[in-house]
Amino acid sequence: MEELIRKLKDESIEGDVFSRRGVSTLVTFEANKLKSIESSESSGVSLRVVMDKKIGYASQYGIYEPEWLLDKAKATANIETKLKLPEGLKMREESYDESLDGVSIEYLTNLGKGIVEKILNSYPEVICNVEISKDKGETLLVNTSGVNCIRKKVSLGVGVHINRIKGTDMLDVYEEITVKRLDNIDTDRLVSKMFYALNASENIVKPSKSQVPVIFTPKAVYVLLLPIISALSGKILLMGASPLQDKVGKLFFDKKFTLIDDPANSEGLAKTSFDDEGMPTKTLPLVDSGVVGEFYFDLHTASLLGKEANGHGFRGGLSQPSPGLTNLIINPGDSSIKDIISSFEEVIVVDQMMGVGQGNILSGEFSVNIHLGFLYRKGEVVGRVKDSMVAGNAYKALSNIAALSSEREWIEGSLYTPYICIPELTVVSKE
Amino acid sequence: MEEIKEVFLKLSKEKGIRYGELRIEESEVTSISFRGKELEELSVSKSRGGNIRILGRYGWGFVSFNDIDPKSIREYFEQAYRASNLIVGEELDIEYSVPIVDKVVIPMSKDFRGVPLDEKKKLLSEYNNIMLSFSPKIQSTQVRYNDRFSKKYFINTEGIDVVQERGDLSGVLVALAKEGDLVEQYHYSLGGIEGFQIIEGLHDKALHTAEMAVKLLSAPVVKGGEYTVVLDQRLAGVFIHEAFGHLSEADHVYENEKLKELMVIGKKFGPDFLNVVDDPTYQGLRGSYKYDDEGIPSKKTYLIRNGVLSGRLHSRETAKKMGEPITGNARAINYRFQPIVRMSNTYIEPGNYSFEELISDIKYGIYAVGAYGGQTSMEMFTFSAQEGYIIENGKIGDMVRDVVLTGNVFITLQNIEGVGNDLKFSQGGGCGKGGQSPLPVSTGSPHIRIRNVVIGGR
Repeated sequence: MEELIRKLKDESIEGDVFSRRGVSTLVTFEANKLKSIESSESSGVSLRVVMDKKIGYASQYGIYEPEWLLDKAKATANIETKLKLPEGLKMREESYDESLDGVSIEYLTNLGKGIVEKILNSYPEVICNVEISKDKGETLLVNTSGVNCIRKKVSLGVGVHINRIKGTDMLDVYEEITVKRLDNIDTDRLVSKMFYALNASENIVKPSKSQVPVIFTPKAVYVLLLPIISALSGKILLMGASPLQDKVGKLFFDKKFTLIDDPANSEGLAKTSFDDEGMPTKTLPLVDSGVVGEFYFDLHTASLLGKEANGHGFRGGLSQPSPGLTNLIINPGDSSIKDIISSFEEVIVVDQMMGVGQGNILSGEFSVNIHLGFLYRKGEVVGRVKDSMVAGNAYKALSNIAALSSEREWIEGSLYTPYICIPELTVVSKE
Repeated sequence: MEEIKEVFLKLSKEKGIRYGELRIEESEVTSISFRGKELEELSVSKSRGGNIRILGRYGWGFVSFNDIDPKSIREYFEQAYRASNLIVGEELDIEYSVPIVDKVVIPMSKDFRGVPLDEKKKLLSEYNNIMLSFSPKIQSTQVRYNDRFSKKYFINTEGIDVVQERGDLSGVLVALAKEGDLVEQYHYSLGGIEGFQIIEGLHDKALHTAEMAVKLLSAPVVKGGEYTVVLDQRLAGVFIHEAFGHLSEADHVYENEKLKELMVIGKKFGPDFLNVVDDPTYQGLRGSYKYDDEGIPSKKTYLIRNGVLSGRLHSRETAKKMGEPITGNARAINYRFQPIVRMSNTYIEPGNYSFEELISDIKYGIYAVGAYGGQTSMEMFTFSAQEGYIIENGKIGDMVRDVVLTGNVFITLQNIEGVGNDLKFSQGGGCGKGGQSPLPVSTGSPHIRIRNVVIGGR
């Protein structure tokens, strides 16, 4: 990497070099049995050059040929930009639990075995698939203006899928937990959530009418967030296609709704003090008590818009930086989820969906199959709702929230959210 | 390469392993995209990686890596071997094959590697400009292009030694129209393995994309309910992929006794005139290949014949376990992953009806056109259209938007009322399964008509 930077400097070209290395282990249980043990080592380097106000980009996985990278980056320098590479930031970010890094393959297989046994003890008729992975990654960013930043991470992920078939009725329940500290792994809680879903799904029921209050569990909240986080991306702003572009500073959502992107949250998997371009990250109020807050940018997008970059340029794999988010945090409400459910004659709790993002996301319209959902009457669960679709508009739904729960949960280690209750949505069920 | 093969085969022999394979993959990718009037991306990347998979008595050991030299191969072999021996449980066996030595090169009429970057960029910018200048209501656009040339080596302990080369190209044109706070979008996607010419001459498609985005602005949201629907070829292809294709992947079924009972060969799933096929040997489609990623020669499989479940897609392992013929459908998206059972080119065979005949006696229904995508949970599935039209008294009427359909495999296939005579393949899509996405596949179908389909809506 130093060699590439030296070559750039020799030719008086500005640029940055971004590299990734990863080692991961994955153990897979299929149909209640340990089926495979995998490990993976990966390494790759990407080079961005800025020549005559134009960006060029090249990357390599598994091969490292500085000459090739430099030639190709120069040859592709076509993207007009006003970006200025940041200067001098030197940082080291470590989310690194030694004890987690040290766990053996046997530890991972025993963890999986324990989960499978626990489930089969209570529900011998089900089939479970479990995936446990340990992922270790290191990214290094160096540029021609003195930036030198290293990020090291290790995390453990557990994903469990239970399948139960009765007649032609299939039930699939998924749960996952991703942690960066070994003592945070609470598989008992994960399993008990799944048991609750299995018990609540004994009967298939239908809501009595098509306009009903709907509660989205933390796992399901994403369907409401997706249009908003898309609309606040600097790229969508640049296209002039953001429905929120003239709403900044205005009350547009329900006052109870606050959504923050918090790179500093130490619990979150995405915690980082710098982005993938060498800018210090900033905590962004995306929506603050219903008021539309800030858009998020990478350097290039911000420069085209004449905005100040806010440390949100992230790279997927080795691809070019683009506006990205870190830890998304939604503020909780005052009532417990139990009290919220009890406050309705009839309410549907949606936990898993199919078809999220399968449509025109920016318009906010959603129409999804309720893959796993439960009907409650007067606070008691009466059964599972299936062969049904729930539809609405995410902007409208979030501007009229009935309640947010006081409890919150981490989803995939980077979304911390309460249950969100919308007073009325349309549910269409098969006759 | 020869030295690496030798190390692998020698170690396999020394350890006396039952079955092992080595895959190496080299690829080169060019990506170009426009967003609005800005060129957003122009980049090239190159990658080289591989993996070793070893069958132990009870399970698989698998290691993937980027570092490929004789010394590191030795270490990775040891790692995979150790992993395969750590698994204890039920005995596992697979189907075996005869030795095959082959080199497969899929020729491109116009090799995209010979097209200069500037020429690629210029062509895409023409499409982009057509869309941008179509109407003041066009707020923005996206044009994305990707070409990928890959060379895959497969070597195993049975004496299979196969090299497969191919060029895969995919692209999408997107137009965004805006009026007040309403933003609508329309896209046209394509893909193929036959060369650069498939992305040439799309000027009329660009125009149509922009035109449709603007039209959607004035289309109302569909009213939710149960409808008789007619699906166009693109959406019907996604429908059969989601509604039935995934359920015929044997890895969902082979370890699940109850699902095996539901999916027993010979069971009636649809009307007599319904025939569904998966065929990787179909020439020139994105889902086409000669050997799968377990080195098994591909073949055509009838999934449904005359409405009856007649076959399913297999890997070495699922075929052995279920005692059914191996089909060559084990695919991996790249060297980082183990092969799993996947579809290739999946389609509904043409029937007798013209489009006019399919809609002629519908009193009130929806004609759903184009595809945003689909998803399945095996029993239930969703798929969404780019646009819809009200069918009233056998005539196509006003446009509606946000048409998302859902169905249940045990009901919806039985409700197919007619299959058209106008089979067409779509190649823009990719399939996701087990974290491996998007895998190049093709879907195909004629127009089809289905009754009592639930459409979500407000």
